[in-house]
Amino acid sequence: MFETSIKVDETTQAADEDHDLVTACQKGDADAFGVLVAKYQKKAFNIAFRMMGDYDETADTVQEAFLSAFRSIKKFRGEAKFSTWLYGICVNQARNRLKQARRRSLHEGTSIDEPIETEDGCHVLEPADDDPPPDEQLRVKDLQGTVQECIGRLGEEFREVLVLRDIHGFSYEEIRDILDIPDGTVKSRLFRARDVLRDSLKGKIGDL
Amino acid sequence: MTSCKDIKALLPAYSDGELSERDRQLVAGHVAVCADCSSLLADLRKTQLLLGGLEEVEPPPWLAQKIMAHVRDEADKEPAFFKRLFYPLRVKIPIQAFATVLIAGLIVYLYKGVNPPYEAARTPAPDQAAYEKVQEKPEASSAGKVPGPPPAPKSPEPVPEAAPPSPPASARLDVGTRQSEEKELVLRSAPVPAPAVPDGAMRQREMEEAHKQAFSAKRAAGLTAATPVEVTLQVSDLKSAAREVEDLLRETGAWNVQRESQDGSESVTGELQREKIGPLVEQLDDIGDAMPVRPDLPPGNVAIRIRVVPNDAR
Repeated sequence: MFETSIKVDETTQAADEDHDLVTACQKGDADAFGVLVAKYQKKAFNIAFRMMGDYDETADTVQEAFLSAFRSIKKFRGEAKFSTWLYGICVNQARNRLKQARRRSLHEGTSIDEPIETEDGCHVLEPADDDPPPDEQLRVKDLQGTVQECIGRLGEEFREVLVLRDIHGFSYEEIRDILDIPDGTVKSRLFRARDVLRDSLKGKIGDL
Repeated sequence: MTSCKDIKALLPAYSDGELSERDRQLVAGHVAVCADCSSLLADLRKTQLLLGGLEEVEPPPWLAQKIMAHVRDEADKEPAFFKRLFYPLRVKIPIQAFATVLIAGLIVYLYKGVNPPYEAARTPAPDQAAYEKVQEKPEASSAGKVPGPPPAPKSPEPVPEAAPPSPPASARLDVGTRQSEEKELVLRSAPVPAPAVPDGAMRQREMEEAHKQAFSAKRAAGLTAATPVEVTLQVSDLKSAAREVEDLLRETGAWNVQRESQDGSESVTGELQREKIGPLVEQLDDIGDAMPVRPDLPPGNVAIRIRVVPNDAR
């Protein structure tokens, strides 16, 4: 059993293209970490941005995520790929930021954008009554904004799997590792998130 | 027959290709004949297309630099933390060691400086006993003949020209008490009514005064023991004996040797090393009858005053 886990770890480490850079970082090489930052900052930024929807907040979140990764890189044992580990930190950081923002908005009074929990536990936001007509939103630029808005109305746990799977194309196994949840949970959350998003988009823009 | 509700629940997995072959065929067969479920599946696929078509956002150009600036701060902070952890020790250990050595040295120095008086104060018994023995000897030999030491005069009195009755030997030897010596010095330095004396005698007095001042200065400087050692020498020929004593004192290695005549006696003063007192007294015995010196002499250089008195003056 023990030997098997060692073999798995060795396989993972060998498969991880960042193994050498990570080892250098663990020895305190900041430049090696700079290479990793350059390599993964864009994807990390996009994951966080699709979860958060705010550009400036995303920049702060990604910065904190990379710093957190650097601080704890000595604890990284290579059970998963470095990128998977890094994206997990990024998602956690974004989740924490969103919680803080929600606490702030609770202090300031309930926001109209606050998600509403449905009967199956999925959080959605009711479309505002004074939204512009759906036809106008079908312009290409506005469409993406609308999609992002609908993503933002999902509950966090649904949003995470949707962003990772349907936007960034991670496999179920990768999502499982990033979010540290069972395979079944990944699928159930994902399918539910798609359903809710489809309904949300239809409510926003009419026929898809 | 499968209901639309069951099929709708399977549609997301179907669009993702995650269904088993049996379920996939079931959904495919239903969608082919059900317009609602078919429309729902199409919407689902469009949703996925919309999500997949979202443009990538470019992170701010400064982000990587900012991240690395913080990372480098962290990297520098890490050794700084250890440095801070051990820095005080690395610096403090030598400082503390040096301070300990310094304090130890200071203690030893102070102990050595304070110890002799402390020792003297702690063990006065042998010296005192020896001194008292010496004191008792002449008293016992001259019991009933010689009165005790006269009380120190409160005010200076004129000293008569004729040889005055000199105090007993025990009184002369009582130089251990600084008080009596001080009184004697006061007595000696007190103005004496000037009799009709020649110029030479006047010059002699002036020299005495100069000598006393020099002696006082030396005392103040602490170069020699403050209290001069008094030795009384009884001789038959006062003048020649005084000269001999003066020569002997110089031969012994004494310095600041002075001779002075006073009250029918001669005093020879000087300073010399403490170890030479004993041999000096032995040699003085060849000239006359020298009184013993008290044993508790201070270490180092001492001042000595040899009073040469005629035999009948004792």
